[in-house]
Parts: sequence; structure tokens; C-alpha cells
Amino acid sequence: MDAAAGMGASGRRRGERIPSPYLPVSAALPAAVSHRHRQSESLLMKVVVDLNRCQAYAQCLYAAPGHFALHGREALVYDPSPDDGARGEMERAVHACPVRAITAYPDDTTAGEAA
Amino acid sequence: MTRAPERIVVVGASLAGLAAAHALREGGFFGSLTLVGDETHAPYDRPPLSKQVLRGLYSADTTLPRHPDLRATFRLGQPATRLDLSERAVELGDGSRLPYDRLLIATGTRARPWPNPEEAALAGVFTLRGRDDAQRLGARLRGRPRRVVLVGGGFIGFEVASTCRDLDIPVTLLVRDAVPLAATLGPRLGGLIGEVARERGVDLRVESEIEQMEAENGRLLAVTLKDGERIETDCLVAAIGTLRNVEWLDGSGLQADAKGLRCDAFCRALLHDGSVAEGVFAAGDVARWPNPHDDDALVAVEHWGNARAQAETAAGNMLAGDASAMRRHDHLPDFWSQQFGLTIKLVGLADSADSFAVMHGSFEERRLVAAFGKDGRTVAAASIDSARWLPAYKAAIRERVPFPPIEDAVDQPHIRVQEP
Repeated sequence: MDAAAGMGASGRRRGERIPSPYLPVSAALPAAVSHRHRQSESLLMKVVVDLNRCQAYAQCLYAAPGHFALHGREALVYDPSPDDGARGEMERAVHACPVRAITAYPDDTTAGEAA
Repeated sequence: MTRAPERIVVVGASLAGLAAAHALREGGFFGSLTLVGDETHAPYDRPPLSKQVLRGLYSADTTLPRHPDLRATFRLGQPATRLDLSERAVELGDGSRLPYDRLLIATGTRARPWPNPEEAALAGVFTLRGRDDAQRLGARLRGRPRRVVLVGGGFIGFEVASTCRDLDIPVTLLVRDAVPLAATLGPRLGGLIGEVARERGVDLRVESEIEQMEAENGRLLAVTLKDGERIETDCLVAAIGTLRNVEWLDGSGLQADAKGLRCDAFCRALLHDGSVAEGVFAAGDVARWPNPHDDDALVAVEHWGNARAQAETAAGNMLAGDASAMRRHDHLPDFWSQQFGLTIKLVGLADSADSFAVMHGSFEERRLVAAFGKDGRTVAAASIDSARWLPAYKAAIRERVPFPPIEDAVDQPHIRVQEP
């Protein structure tokens, strides 16, 4: 599941393989989406950590100190819905995780429309 | 060779449903993709609900990240009410019909309600499964109840008890069995967790059940236990297991009952006569399939990791064309729990183990890796605050190497095999 490397920042066409959700957020995002999100203050990101994978290396704590914490030796707690202002820190946390347990995407409504 | 699907419907918009949607797009599916969910929320993550969300840490919004190019249509707040296999359509609560070429059933489970409906309806009586449940219970905890009574000796009960103690709320935890968590972790590790809970101030009662609740003006006042003791409480959480969401499949012809929706090893749903329902797949808590890690016993694995892995297998098989290209679902069951500052993890299935041995660390340190054996073979491993060493045992469990998987270790010169 860690596959699909080499995805550029350009937009994808229909039918093109989309990257795994385990890819770092920066690599996974089309430029247009990144740009739109940087313009707005009110947007959020969504974050999930695969805690089966997490081995408490704690690198995310250094990368995004306000958004990850350890309670005890290994119990990771994290902000599932940080403000888009945390984007840079979150990208660093995604990259810093030695077991690639963190997935983060902007909370983009185009990912799916309610009908 | 079956025709490539153009319309895929996923019933169940939670972890498994969303993981399947991602996997379908990753697998090259670019047709129409619809996710149906009975809740109004977009797919969200449940594990934080019993912990940080109840405690009020960070955001209560645990919506799962969705890829910006997922291009899925969400029909939320709309339960599926009927499945028509011959017409290949799912009927929703509003009467609309969704035709499909492939269908994934990932309707999961719901909290088992308290068996006495009058007591269940009292103000102050809660269950915990979804975001709305967590919001209600969290609000109640912020109102500082005098005492929380938790019913149920499973992980949810222990996690909520831990959260209550973090908030310095008095808590009584009622467990029906003699040892808590023994069904999953065995009595030794379950007993250790019980000991930790007591040290953290949990009033843990084993072999204890509620006889009746007492109320005034529709509000919970106290509970009476089967042994006659009365405990005053204004907040009770029933964490007594789950029910599978299969009722909507009644009359569909699929083999679905309280134990789950029967599938084959390729996540294909089965009909009453045991044959495959063409184009219909299942994943997550609702699916019951022959598990290669349990001698092909029919099990439903109600864990986060399985929901995601099974959804990915099912998605791959939905796009596979014919059976020869399909992959068996052989995910090794795994889960974690965080409570009282400890992280407990398990890989494999320990519930039928007959032997147990500590591989690293010790009970005294409360930091250890232990392996479980069954009939002389290694079937599971658990860690407490030692997650880094757990993956090393996965291969041994997959291959069922002789138990114990190692004969000695630097810190354990003599591996001592005990009862679990």
C-alpha cells in the first residue's frame, strides 16, 4: 500500500491512477487544490493515524508539536481536524513518520459531493 | 470474463466504505461511485471517540481524510432499506433506487442497546458507537456526573473508564466475567489491565451485573446490582457489544444473520444455497468469512485494521473481472487500545490460545511482548508499551511456527511457557 511513488504536483486526468492515501500530503495534492487552500483561512485539514502501524517514534511530535502528543510511553493522541494553517507542520509530520502511519488531506468538498 | 463495472455502490459510509472507495480509484476504476450512509456525517474515524473526543482534547471532528480526486457521490442520512439482487439495485429510505454493477456491503455494526427499553430511555443512560453518541456523552461528562457506571468488560468500557479517570470523575466498571478482557487477551494480560485500572482509581467489579435501574422523573438515580448492592449514579454507559446491521438484507436472498453477512474468502457475499451472489461483496465488521488465521473458521473481525484491509481486498476483487484474478482476504487480525496511559496491541487471534509466554519485558515493568500458542503453534502476540517489537512476531504467526517462537532472549534467558 505504500506504492504509487513519483506522483507529480500536477492535476490528474480521468482514469489516471490516484496515489495511495499513505502518500505524503504534499505529493498527493494537485497544485490547484493546494493553491485554493492557501488562499483561505477557514479551511481545515483532516488527519488520521494508523495506530496499528504507529510505534511511538514520536517524530510527529517534533514536526507538529501542537497537533500530536504522547500520553504515557506510547499512546499517541492527535488533532484529527487541524486548521489549514497547520499545513506545513502536518506535511513535515507525514514525512517524518518512520512507519508512514499518518494520512492527511485538505478537507476538500470536491472529494465527494453530498447528494 | 465479466464486463468491467461502470457503476459501483458502497453501502456503509464509514472506515471500510471509504477505504474501498479509495482503493477502487487507486485500482483504476473511474466510473460512477456512490457511498450510502445512514448517518448525516461524512465518513469519520471511531477510535478517538472513546478517548480524546470524550475528553475534549483537540477537535471532536474525526472526519476521515478523503483524497481530493475521490470523485464519489455521498448519499448521507439515507439508510439502505432493501437489496434487489435480480434487478441489481439498492433501495434507500427515501424510496430512490441505486442501480449497480458491483455492490459493496459495509454496513458495520451498531451499539447493542441496553436490553430493558424503559431503562435504556432514561436520561443519563448512554451507549457509545458514533459521533453523535460521543457528543452526547462528552457533554454529560463535562457536566461532571457524580459517578459514571460502565457496564461491559470490553475495550470500550475500559477506554471510557480511563477517560473518566483522566477527568477525575469517579467510575465504577461492571464486568460480567471473572477476569476483564480475558476473551481477547487471555486472563493474564486481562488481569494486568484490571490491576492497572484499579490503581488508577477505577472501582472495578468482576462477576457483577445490574439487576435494575432506579429513576426519578425519567432521570437515572441509581443502579442495583445482582448481589443487592445499590450504587448511586447519574450517568451509565452500556458498552455491551454490538449488533450487525443486516436487517436491510432480509428477503434479499443473501446469507445474513446476527453473526454477519456470510462471505467467501474473496469477500464475495453468498446466497442461502452457498453460491456466490454475482457482483456483491462485503467488508468490515458486518462480513463473516473463513479466516485462514483461524483454521478457516467463520469469523467477523470487528477491528479498524481489518475494516480497511478487507475493503481494499474487496475493492481489488470487484475490479478483478473473473475469479482467477481475485485475491484471498488473509489479513492477520490486529488491533490496539489506549487506556490508563498504556498502549495495548494484539496481532493474531488469542481467544482460543492454550499457552502463553513473555518474550520481552515483564509484568512488573508493565512493558512486555507476549506470544500465544495453540496446539504447539504460535497464533498471536500482544504488546504493552512495546509496539516496536510486535511486528517481529507477525511472520511467526502467519507461518504458525512452533510455540514458543523463540527459545531465549537477551532479557529472558529462559522463556517460560504458562497458561494464558
